[in-house]
Parts: sequence; structure tokens; C-alpha cells
Amino acid sequence: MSRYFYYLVFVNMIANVVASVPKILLLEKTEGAILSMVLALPLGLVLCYIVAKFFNRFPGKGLPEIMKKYLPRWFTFPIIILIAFGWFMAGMITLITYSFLLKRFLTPDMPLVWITAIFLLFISYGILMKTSSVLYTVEFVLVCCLPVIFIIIIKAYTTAEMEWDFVKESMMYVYRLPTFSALAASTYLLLGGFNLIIFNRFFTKRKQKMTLLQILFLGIVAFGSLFTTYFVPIGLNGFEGVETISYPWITTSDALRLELGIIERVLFVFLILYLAVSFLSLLIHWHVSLELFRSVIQIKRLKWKEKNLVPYIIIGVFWIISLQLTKYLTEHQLTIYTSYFFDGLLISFIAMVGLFWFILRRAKA
Amino acid sequence: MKKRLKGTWRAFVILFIVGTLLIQSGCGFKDIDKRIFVLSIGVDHTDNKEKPYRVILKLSVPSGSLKESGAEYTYLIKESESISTAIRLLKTETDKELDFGHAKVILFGEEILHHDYREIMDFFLRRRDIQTVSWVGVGKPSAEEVLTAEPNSEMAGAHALFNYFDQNGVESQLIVTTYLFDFRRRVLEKGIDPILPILMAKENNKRIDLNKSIVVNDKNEVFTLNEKQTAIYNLLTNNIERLDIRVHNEDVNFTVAIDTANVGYQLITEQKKKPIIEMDVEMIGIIQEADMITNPEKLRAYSNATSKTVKKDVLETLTQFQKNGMDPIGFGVRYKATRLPNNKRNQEWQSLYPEVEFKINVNATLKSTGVIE
Repeated sequence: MSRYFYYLVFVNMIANVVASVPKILLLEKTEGAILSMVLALPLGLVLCYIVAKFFNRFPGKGLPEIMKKYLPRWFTFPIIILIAFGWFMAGMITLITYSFLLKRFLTPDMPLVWITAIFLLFISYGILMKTSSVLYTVEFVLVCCLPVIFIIIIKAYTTAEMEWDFVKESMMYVYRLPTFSALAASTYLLLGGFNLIIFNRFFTKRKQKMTLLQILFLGIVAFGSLFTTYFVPIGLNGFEGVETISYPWITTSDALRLELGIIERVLFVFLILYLAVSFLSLLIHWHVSLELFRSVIQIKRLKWKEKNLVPYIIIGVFWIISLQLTKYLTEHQLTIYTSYFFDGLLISFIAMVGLFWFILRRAKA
Repeated sequence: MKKRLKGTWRAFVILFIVGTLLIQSGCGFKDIDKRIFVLSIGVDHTDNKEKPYRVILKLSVPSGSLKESGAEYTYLIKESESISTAIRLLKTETDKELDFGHAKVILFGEEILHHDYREIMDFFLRRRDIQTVSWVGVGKPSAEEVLTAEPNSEMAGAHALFNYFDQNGVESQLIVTTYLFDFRRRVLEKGIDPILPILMAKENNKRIDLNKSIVVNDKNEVFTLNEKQTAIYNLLTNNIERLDIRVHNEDVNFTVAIDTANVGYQLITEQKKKPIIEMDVEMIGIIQEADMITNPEKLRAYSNATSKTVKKDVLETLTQFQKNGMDPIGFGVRYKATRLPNNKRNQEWQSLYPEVEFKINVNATLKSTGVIE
């Protein structure tokens, strides 16, 4: 596959750390979180493979175009709206989680709504960009951030305070049966490939291929990512008591100390880095969401100076919903709803595979 | 005309965005000259039931230039029912905003450990601005005395306590460093007990000694480690690589400087047998000081003597821990980490630990007699 496909997958893998994935997993630490992660790995890879394979059949086409071509309109419309809404929620979770984080750690004196609004301001500009520009942004920011994130992870593994006995203690729970919410949360790491439903419009140039070697590569990265997400917080914060931390990874990064670094407290470096990565994640998800909405909601008459106003109206709705939700939700509710969202996501993505199969059958016929 | 209009529109949007930036800086950011930095926080226990906590904040006094000022600190002290109430009251005693972002040392009076120190720990963890990489210690005779001590070697802007703990300044086998997050995980985890360094103010608060440590177990019992036990603890947890050991041999007494040390242990429990902890200590070093001319051909013999001494010390220390029901090394965690959970591993270990037999193998290698023989 083109390297841009990997970026889409990687952003999900990295951004999950600040979303509620580690928290959900750690809540299940004595209830089969480990086996869930083990199961999530092949499941996620298979889903990833299927989606890549499917879109390789239709180079340069997004899901809306494919569906419009092969499926009836009454069927296409609700499905696309549903999917778009799902992507919107995914972005929203990142947005609200990160606004909470900023409020807690970086700008405690700023009103929460302001923080969200500033985020939204930049995002609104970002998601209106062309699909290719979005991908270039993703590449650039990732290339800047990945090395530093890598250093922080290496630091976490090599610090003297990393207590492997705690990690081993948690591994003793490996025989517990997996739970659905842990499975769903850990599969989420690998679902970045599904962004192809819009971003496939960009992959036009040559025939893309998904080989076994590439899947293996993704598998190794996903394994490392899952392992780090779950075990590093345990190793640094102890096994009993790790689940009572609101933001496991933020506290974990605060336990690291770069004695001779420019900034001693890794926490701040970490927050800034993840600000960038969360921004990317939000950008990707909402770009997909916006494009999906746009593909089905077309009101030709709504024009002002030869510009169609529909996308602006959609963004306005995005603003209102996110500002209201930020005001309404508490941290605890956010974790719980995120967990429900992940559960729903896994089921609907498996359903989406069914949809792909249906489309392929229609296409052949 | 139309193009021109578009240009103005764009300029307006840009101006608007720049304008919002202006509002941002106004909505809560306090300038550095309106802040005063807390360097360390001390909490003592008073016997007053109404106001059980005595909070001491050590602040660095801002000064115009580094050259003119000596080491100037000021202190805020308040007794209250909780730490946050004390801090709220203290805020009114300075003209600036108290900034905890640089508070890197947290000291407890020893009395605190006998009471509910978990609540106090909770305060420090719940606040976002106090680093979890700040060092925790116990002040003797009280946290206040240690914090108000101003050692002669202290320089402006360089809090002496920071240098003690930061392994950049002084490096010693006798200093235990415990970060706040480490303290937390040890308190919450059954099977490993928190250990804190003891800081002792001496000579009219002109000197601070830091060579003992204290362990607290789950029942709020404390056990003080002396210098030797502290060094052994540091050795056993692989915290230090360098340490000095005094060895008494038949013909020659000497001190060994160890520069590489590695410790590992295994926990063996078998049915109807005493549980065994088998510990291997590997050390490499040189002779640093001797009361006679040393014979390089007898290095092997010296090594054996060193091994024997270390073995004795380690055994003594571990037996002391065991007798007092303390587990700062985390044998309990290892026990849980090597067995499948059955929901009562903690209780099992509680009954097993007093029975444990220690088997210690020390392998010390002396490479040289130093610059002279």
C-alpha cells in the first residue's frame, strides 16, 4: 500500500493513548484485558486487510461513490449518514478528551468552552481542505512527532523506576476470559485503515496491493503499540491502584524525568506531542465525516457567491454539538460513553464488512 | 473591485484571529513577576485534633540579579485541618500567586507516618501542578526544621535539598530517593512497602544529614534503617552501582570500592517446605583503603573475604526486615508475579513471609589493589 495508508493506521494507534483505550483496558486488568488484546490483534489485522483489499478494487473511489453506483439510493442515504455520524463521534471523543486534558494540565485557568472553541477553529479550517492536503498535513506532523514519541517510549522502558514485577503480576491474569469492551477498545487501535472510505479518493495513481509482509509489519507495530499502551502504565504506577488514575498515560509520562533534557518534566513534552497527534486524529475523522455528509446532503439552491454553503452549515452543526457536549459531559461519563462507542464501533465495522461483501457481489453481477 | 473586497475580507479574518490571541493571554495567565515559586512543601503532624496538619512552604525570594542576592528563602507556615485549607490561608499571606510547578521536595514529619498519611499523599497526587517526580522524604526532628535549615553550601537559586536527591550533585550509597509516584504505588500495592529517606537537621540548622531511611508497612508501623541497612537496601534494589564496604580479614582490614553490582533473586515455595528466597549478588570492585600492604596474589582471598562480609550484612538486613514485618524490596510482589492469581495471594504471602529462609550467594571479584599494592 502507499505510505499514506500507514499514516492513517498509525494515527489511530498513537492517538488511542490519550483517548480512553488505556483506561478501559486497565479497568479490566483482572478480567481478561490481556487475552482481549491478544484476540484484538488478529481481528484488527483481518479487518484492516479486508478494507484495504476492498478499496484496492476501486482505485480513486470513496465509499459514497461506490455505494451510489451499485446500491439503491434509499439504502445508500441512511447508511452513509450513519457511518458519517460514527466518524463524527470518534472525532468528538478525541476533541472532548483532549479539551479536558488541556483544562487539567496545561491551561487550568481557561474556560473549557474556550479551549474547545479554539480547537474547533483550527479543525474547521483543516477539514475543509482537500483530501490530499489533509494527507500531506498528517504526514508532516507525524514525521515531526514520531521520533520524539519514540524517544519517550524508549525512556519509559529503560527508566530505572520501571518495575517489571508489576508487569509480570498483571500478566498472571492472562488466563481470564476476554471481555467485549476490552476487545473492542483494543481493536480500535487497528481500525485506522477504515478511513479509506474517503481517503481512497486519493489513492488513484497505481494499483495498490496489500501483501502478507505489509500485514506482518502492521501486526508488529500494533503489537508494540498495544503492549506499550497497557503494560507501561502498570510498570510505572503499580498493579494495584493503576485503574484509579483518571488519565493513565498522562500520569505515566509524569513519572518520567529527563534529568538533562531541555524540559525536565516529560509530561509537558508529552502533552504537546499528543496535542499534535490528537489534532491529526480529529482532522482525519472529521474530514471523513464531513465528506460523507457532503456526499449525501446536497442542496443546490443554498448558494452564496457561487459557493455552496452546505459544508459550512455542517461545520456549524459540529460546533454546536461539540460545545454543548463539552459543557454537559463529566470525565467519568466520557469514559463510559467512549466504552459504549467502541463496543458499537466493533459491531458496526463487522457489519460494514458485510456491506463490502454485498457491494462486491453487486459489482460482479 | 470584487478582488479588492475579497482582500479586505481576508484581512479582517486574519485580524479577528490575531485579536482572539490577545484575549487569550488576558484570561488567566499570570506573569512571572506576579508568581512566587514554592521549592518544597513540608507537612508536620500537630497533636491538636482540630488542626492536625502543620504545612510549611519554602519559597524562593525573587531578586533582581543573581550576583547581588545570597541564598534567600522565605517560609510560610500554617496549621489547619487539611493541607488545601492551609494553602488557601497561606495564599493570603503573600502578595503573589503561589506556584507549585517547581516544588520538587515533599517532606513529612515522622508523626505523619503513624497517622493517615494516605490522605496527605492523596492531596499531592490529586493536584495537577505538583510533579509526581518530586522527591518524598521524612524530616527529623520535624519537617519544619529540615526545610528551614539553610546549609552553608547552599547557593542562590539552587535548593540544597534538590542536590541531595538529584543524582547529579551528590551521589551516595546512603541516599534513598523515592519519587512521589513510587511512594504512591508502594503504598497502594500489597507486597511492597514504601521506603523514605530521613533528613536530619543538625548544628543549629546549618547542616542536613541524609543517611538513614524509614520503611512503613501496611499497618502504619515504621522501621528505621541505619546507614548500613540503607546501603544494603540500595544495593539489593539495584539503585546504586557504587558502594564502599569495610572488610575485616584475619591479617588485613581493608575497604572495597565496588563499581559494578548486580542483584537478582528467586522465590521458591514448595509444599511442606520452608519458602526460600535465593539471592545472587554479583559485585566487581577494587581495594580502596587498607591498613597493611596488600598482596596482589591474594586478591582471590580478599574477594572471598568481601563476599563473606557482604553475605553477612545482607542476611542481617533481610532478617531485620522480616522480623519487623517490612518488605521494602517487594518480595510480596514477586510472589504474586510468579503465581496465577487466586484472590488470596496477599494473605498467603502474609503468612509465608515470616517463615522465609534466605539463601544468599555473593560473588565479589576484586580486580585490583588500586594504584599501590
